[in-house]
Amino acid sequence: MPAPPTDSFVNIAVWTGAIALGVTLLLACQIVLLRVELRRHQRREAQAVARWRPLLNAAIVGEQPPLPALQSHERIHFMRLWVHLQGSLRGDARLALNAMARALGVDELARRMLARAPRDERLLAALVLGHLADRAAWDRLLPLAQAPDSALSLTALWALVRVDPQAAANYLTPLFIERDDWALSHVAGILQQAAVPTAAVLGRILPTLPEERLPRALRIAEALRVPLPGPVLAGALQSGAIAVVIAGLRSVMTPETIAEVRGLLQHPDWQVRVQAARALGRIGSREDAPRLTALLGDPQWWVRYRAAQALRELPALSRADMQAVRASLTDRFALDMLDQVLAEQESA
Amino acid sequence: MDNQQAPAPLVLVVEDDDHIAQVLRFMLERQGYRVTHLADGRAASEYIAAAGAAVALPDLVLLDVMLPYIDGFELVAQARARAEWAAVPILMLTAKNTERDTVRALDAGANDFVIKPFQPNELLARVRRFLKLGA
Amino acid sequence: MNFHHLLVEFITWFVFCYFLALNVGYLALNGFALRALRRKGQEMFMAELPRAYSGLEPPVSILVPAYNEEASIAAAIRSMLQLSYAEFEIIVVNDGSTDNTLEVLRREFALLPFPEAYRRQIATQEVRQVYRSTRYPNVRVIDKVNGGKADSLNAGINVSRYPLFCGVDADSILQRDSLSKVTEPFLRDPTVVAAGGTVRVANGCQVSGGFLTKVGLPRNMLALFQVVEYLRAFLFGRLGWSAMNGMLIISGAFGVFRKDAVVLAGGYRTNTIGEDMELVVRMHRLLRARRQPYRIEFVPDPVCWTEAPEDLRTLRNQRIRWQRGLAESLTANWGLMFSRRGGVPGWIAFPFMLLFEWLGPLVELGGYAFMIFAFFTGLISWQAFGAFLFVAIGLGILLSASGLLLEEMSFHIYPRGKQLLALGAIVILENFGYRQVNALWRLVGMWRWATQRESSWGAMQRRGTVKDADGAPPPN
Repeated sequence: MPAPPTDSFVNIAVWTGAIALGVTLLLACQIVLLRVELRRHQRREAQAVARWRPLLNAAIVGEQPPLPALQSHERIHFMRLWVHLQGSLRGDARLALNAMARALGVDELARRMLARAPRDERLLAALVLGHLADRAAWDRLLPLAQAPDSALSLTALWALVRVDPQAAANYLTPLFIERDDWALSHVAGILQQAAVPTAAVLGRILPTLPEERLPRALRIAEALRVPLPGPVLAGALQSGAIAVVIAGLRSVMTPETIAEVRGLLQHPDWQVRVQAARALGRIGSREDAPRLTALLGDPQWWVRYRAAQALRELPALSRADMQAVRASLTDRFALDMLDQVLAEQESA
Repeated sequence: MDNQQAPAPLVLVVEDDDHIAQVLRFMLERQGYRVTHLADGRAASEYIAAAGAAVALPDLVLLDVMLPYIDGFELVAQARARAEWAAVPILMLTAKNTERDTVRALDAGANDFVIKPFQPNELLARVRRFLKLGA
Repeated sequence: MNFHHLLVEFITWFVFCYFLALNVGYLALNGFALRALRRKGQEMFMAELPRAYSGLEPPVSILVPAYNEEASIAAAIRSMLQLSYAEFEIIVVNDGSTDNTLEVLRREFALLPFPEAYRRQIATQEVRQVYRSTRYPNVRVIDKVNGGKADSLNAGINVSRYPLFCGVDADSILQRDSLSKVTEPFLRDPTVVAAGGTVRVANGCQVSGGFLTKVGLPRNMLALFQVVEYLRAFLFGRLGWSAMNGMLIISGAFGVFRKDAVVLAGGYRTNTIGEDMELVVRMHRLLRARRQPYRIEFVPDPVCWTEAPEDLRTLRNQRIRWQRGLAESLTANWGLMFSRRGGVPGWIAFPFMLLFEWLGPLVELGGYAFMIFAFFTGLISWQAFGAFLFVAIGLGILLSASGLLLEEMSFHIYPRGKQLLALGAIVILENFGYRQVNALWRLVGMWRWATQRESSWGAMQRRGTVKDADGAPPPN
């Protein structure tokens, strides 16, 4: 006679299955709700855009149309459209858009949103205030720039730079150097507007920075094309920390430090040699050709590559000179590399 | 004696960003021009091929560089390869203001370029200049 | 008598608990994915705005292994050139094609031989010649002796100039912002060494010029099942793992890696079928052992689309291959499991994969088989059998529904209500046959792996594993 598994099994299994189906039904309802909400959002957006786009366009071309009140469900859509247009335009059009926003009370709205709205609305508010260059929002934007959230802090930083580049540079330059999660390229893009004040601040604080922070600070200076003060650069090139030396070499633009650069061509670390070769290509003269030719035989591919490119970039070297160099090479690797770089130049 | 008015100049706008395209349309129509808008490179390429016979040849083209399917530079090259389009002024809207792109634009045969973000009045002035030259 | 009852009792409970654990595990993953998506969703609208601050993206070398792709390679490369990205190069690796792939490339891209100083970082089959396109200066082509997809990627790595590389299948359909989306983790976090992109089902979508123009649902039943399957298992599950830094798979169809990290790990392994997963698991193992802080991320945006198999035979072969690849990747990296510094990959992800992905087909099918056998021989009552089926299918439906919910919350790429309804129906239907047959195929895959069928393996290597045996591309 078959003895089935205990009733408890059946009970538990059936209950589990029932709960699973119950939760599934809940999920299904949630999916439907989300879809309905999405449709409503899209409809609202289309309506808001249809209503406000002609008015915004009119403002852009210089007219002053009478403005209706901005209704609460239109706010976010209006702000998004407004920010989009601000990002695409320049000049009088932007001033007109700013005037329109202030007339509608959007600046006040954005300041309020900055304090307590959900994250995406705070991002939008920061963008709006940045475009408005709204002084009154400074105090509220500053703590946001120090928030751990990357996207939010970078956007707040951008807004602060637009409001007051000098003050932003003063307050926040140490922050750029600290925060590794702020990609250098983003920071450089934002700071383009505040290049001069940032350069001044960097010049002041670079000598005081601890060694582990120096590479990043030097990279920021390089990205902003800020010429480094002589002693700072020389100090960096003579530093014991490889990262500092590399960052310093990347910033070398003038021949003042050429002696140190030449010395670094023989450095044991291959990355230093690479950067030294590149730097020499920028600032070197004809007499550096033998040094670079010697590097063509380096065991590291990238050193050979950059040395060959630097040779090509040396100002006084003509095609005939390059052919002479090529003929003098006995190392097969060096020959291959020079051929490659010459071919690259031809097809460029 | 009735003076037949020439039809308003036709401007072809090729721009994939809808908001910017709407601004351009508004600006140009307010100046009295007619506007045809295309949103991607392929539609523009077909228009270029069909112009003259099937569709009207525009008096000016406002061409964005970054377009889906076929970019602006190739479209300019395609247009300049055809006899009808040789005299049509082409203004390119470039987003990247690197020297390389402006050189490319002019080399490909564009008459002028406008860097995005653009100033609406400046754009209009350039458009007017080319349309006046043509008239 | 008693012993038999105890045995039956034990097995039924075991199978029940296994099903419960498996589904709860995946539900938990989806839960983690939910949190990550919330944050992500808030940033998505910012991406639609013209950038307030434009930062330069890191340059990327796109590696495209190609074997016998004469019909589609030119169009594929042309569409990749349209990617809106600051700086990138495309390296096509012609893996000893026996058709006119190289000729087509030579013609379409005006190739000329280029004296490349080939850098042998990773050993590969012999590279015959490197070409450069005179029309598009950022396109180079490597012509080499056939060695398989992994070998081609290694050759591409040797020749690439940029610090990041992106492995793409020749038939992956990308979007213009795919590259910028998938490199975004590298910008945000300097410790990211690899990022995988989502692969979606392109069947039923309109594709033109190599780009997706309109999203749609396929009409083919199998493809529909796969759409839901991808949502359930491959999309959000991976996002969940990524949130814990335990993601063990990056699809070969679209993934970006830091070149130096991959070279340090030894490059792709050429004698395995699942080379994409094997590399990632190995990177986890080596980086963990070295105590180096790192992250391997997953980008959930729909950035890559491939054609899913629409006939049984191709699908079967694909799933058999996947299971073999999974088994090989895991066994090649045993050291990761429960290793002292293993972290999430070693203590949670690897055992999870082993227990539920690798062992899964065996227990699932075994469970079904046992229950059916036991029912028909009267060892268990119809109530127990019914309860078992109810639970197994009910949990499956719940899991599929959670995948659909996450999709609706995040990207909702299927705009029409009818499509949503169709997907809902598939969520239910999927569990009445498709999942079970899938388990059967995976079991075959396990068997083949266990018995190491050299013959088919050899044939695969000769042909180059870019395309499946029957011509359909592997989405994974």
